[in-house]
Amino acid sequence: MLTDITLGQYFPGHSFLHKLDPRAKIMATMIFIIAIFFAESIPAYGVVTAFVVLNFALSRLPLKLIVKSLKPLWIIIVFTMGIHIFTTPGVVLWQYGFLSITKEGVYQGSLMTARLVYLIVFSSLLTYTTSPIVLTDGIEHLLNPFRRIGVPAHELAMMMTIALRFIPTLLEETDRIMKAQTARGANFTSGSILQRGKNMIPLLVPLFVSAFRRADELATAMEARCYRGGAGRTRMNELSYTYRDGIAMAAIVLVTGILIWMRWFV
Amino acid sequence: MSIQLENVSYTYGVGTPFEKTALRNVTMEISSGDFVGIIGHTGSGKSTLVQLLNGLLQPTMGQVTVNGMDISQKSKAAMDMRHKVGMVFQYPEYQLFEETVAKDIAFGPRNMGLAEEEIEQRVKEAMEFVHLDYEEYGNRSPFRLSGGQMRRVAIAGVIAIHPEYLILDEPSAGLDPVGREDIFAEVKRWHEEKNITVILVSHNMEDISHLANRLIVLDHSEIILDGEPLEIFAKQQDLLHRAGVSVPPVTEVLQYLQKRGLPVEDRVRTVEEAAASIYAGVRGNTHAH
Amino acid sequence: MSIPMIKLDHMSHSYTDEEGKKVYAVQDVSLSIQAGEFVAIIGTNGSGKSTLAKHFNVLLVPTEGTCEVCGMRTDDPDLTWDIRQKVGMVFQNPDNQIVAAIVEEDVAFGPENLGVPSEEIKKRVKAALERVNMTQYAHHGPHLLSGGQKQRIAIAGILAMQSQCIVLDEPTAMLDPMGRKEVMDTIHQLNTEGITVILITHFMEEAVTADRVIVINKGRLQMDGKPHDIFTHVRELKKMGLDVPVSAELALRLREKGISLPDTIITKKELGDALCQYS
Repeated sequence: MLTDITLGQYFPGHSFLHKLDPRAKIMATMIFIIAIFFAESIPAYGVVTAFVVLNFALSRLPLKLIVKSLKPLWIIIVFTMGIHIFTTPGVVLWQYGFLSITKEGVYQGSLMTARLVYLIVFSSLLTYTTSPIVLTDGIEHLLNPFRRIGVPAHELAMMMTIALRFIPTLLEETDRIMKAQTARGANFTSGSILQRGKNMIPLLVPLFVSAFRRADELATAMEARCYRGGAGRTRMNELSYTYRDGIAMAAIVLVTGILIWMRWFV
Repeated sequence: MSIQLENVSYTYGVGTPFEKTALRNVTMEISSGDFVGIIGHTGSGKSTLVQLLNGLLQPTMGQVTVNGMDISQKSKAAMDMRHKVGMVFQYPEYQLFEETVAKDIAFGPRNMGLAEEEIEQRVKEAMEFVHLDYEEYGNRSPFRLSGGQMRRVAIAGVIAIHPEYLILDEPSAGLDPVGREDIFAEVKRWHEEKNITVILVSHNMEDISHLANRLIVLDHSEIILDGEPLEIFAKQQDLLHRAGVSVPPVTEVLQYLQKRGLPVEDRVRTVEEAAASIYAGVRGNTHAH
Repeated sequence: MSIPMIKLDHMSHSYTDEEGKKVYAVQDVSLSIQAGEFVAIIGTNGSGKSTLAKHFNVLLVPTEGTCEVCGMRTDDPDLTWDIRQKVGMVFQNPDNQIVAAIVEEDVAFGPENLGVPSEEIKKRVKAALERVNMTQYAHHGPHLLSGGQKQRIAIAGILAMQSQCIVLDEPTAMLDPMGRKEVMDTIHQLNTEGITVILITHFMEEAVTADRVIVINKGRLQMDGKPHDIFTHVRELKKMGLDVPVSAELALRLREKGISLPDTIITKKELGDALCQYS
């Protein structure tokens, strides 16, 4: 069993991607998401594909994880493909009644779908190679400069950390409450949607009451340990950039540059 | 009239890498009118065992029957039979959710589909049983009561479904000595007045020795002892020790005095009986000189 | 005479209830706890013992009288954080005091709040986990730990702040016997290493192991002395709703039946010795 609270998303490892600073990974992912939209020709997509495959190889993750990341969104992928195939006007390849598939449609559909798939896969690479705690750290650091305009970076990070910490605990409590209410004849499994919604009250009310009580006690405990907000706090594990992050950022900037050049200057 | 377990086993996560047998090959019968104490170290299978008794868990092997009916069936009759086994979880006050005390206690009876008058009757009865005045507390929010009162509301909620068998999981958890004494006095009363068969799960051997006529000890997913408490304290200290549980404090003192050569009887339940036993032993000893 | 770790001078804590009446949770308590002591504070639920304990790290301030920690007055807001660094607190619910999702990060929480440099924090966390015997769990998620282990992590978190005194507010109330033993063994070990331990409890078998027992009843300090002096007052303690060691109660009952035994018995060995001598 995994000894931490990774929700099944984080896949521990020692690859190049795993060793990158989370800030670099987050920034690279954001840049890539924008960069994908610059690709509009087959060669450009070739570049993107090569880059995604390279990153995937660097991560040393098993292929089935990638498939797993696409599974929840397969409906959207199929839908996207379908919309483009059937509604793009042009040279008709196949016709059945009012449904027609055009050459342009297939072309557009494939490209759009590829874009979507790459987006999902690349973001998944981020969450698969970065533990939630480290990710939270990275987000906090990246948001820090925005504190002067009122973004509560530290508070947001603290909230995320505490939420992550309590997810398993609250899940256990949910289970306990469900059992206690079931022992009193409660029914959480059958009935109409409306019925089941109402049936959740004996589960949700105690859970909320308990969560508030926990929050109160936790706040007291934090104060007892001298917590007074983010000012003056140090960190045990400080983030630091290495040469790898330099390479990664250079790579993503290079790829983005190539895509821009291919889009507007070729 | 009894709950019977026949070669019952329970395994978590069958087929996954986290497979774990929580209970192995248990055959036992709890007869109507018993007061059973169940003790064992954390992870010994106690909570799995009691959740099998009222159908919250279905055995992965073997069969659980209540009053002759297999409660793993999906029929209404089986469901009604499961409701004959009530269960009060640890810290039961954490399950309260309704706007008023009366409504929360009515939750169980309402789920059973009883008529309104019957429900109201049961709520009044249950509140009286746990010494909470209906007029004064019925309409109050359960969240505005003290911890001890909240616990009594939760217990009343289980009593209201009129269980024949009542499972109590550490009912005194978190209570101070006075609170503990109170709640066990109540439990004893229910057992005697209403003839409810009680199954008490506890870490505290002293509480069990005061109340139970039968003791079941669990160790690493198996039942290793099942019998009369005083017999077990007298003869099975090794097994108890191995299971990570101890005899009650009075028994411990008496057995220690026996080792010191004092002729005292160690089969007692209370401090009064223990004092009488020591007195007899000491007086008898001095007369022998 | 060195400055006491804790000093209460006619301290009271009162509040107004729903009907507007003034209620004393703690009333006119004076006591002094020296560095290195192991003190048990016992009382029933509602006796005021927890309210009392919360003054030791400024979670509450007195409404009358004073409370001083290492000479620092708790009603001076500028001193609050220094006091909280010196006196740490472990609470009853093992879950609701763990902040981080990884054990070693939670132990680091205190020193991080104090602005301790990163390398120093790492050293302190490592040492603290060793002292509570939890080194192998450093990278675990807290939800996988038993109650006793969680409380030990909480203790480690206070050791990492280099506190001199640990106040434990009913730390074993939600634990099983094994967890209770783990916590008690740990705090006794720390006490031998010089840490002042103040244990709030209603478990008599824990209080009996302390150097000194303070009995709180209805907000007032009722008794203060060594376990042997306190636990032999069997009738008085039972009237207050408290447990007594079974040997002490047996000795009292035997005395009442006419067997003359010394009135200092609280352990089975002492009872055995006395009875063997008698016959």
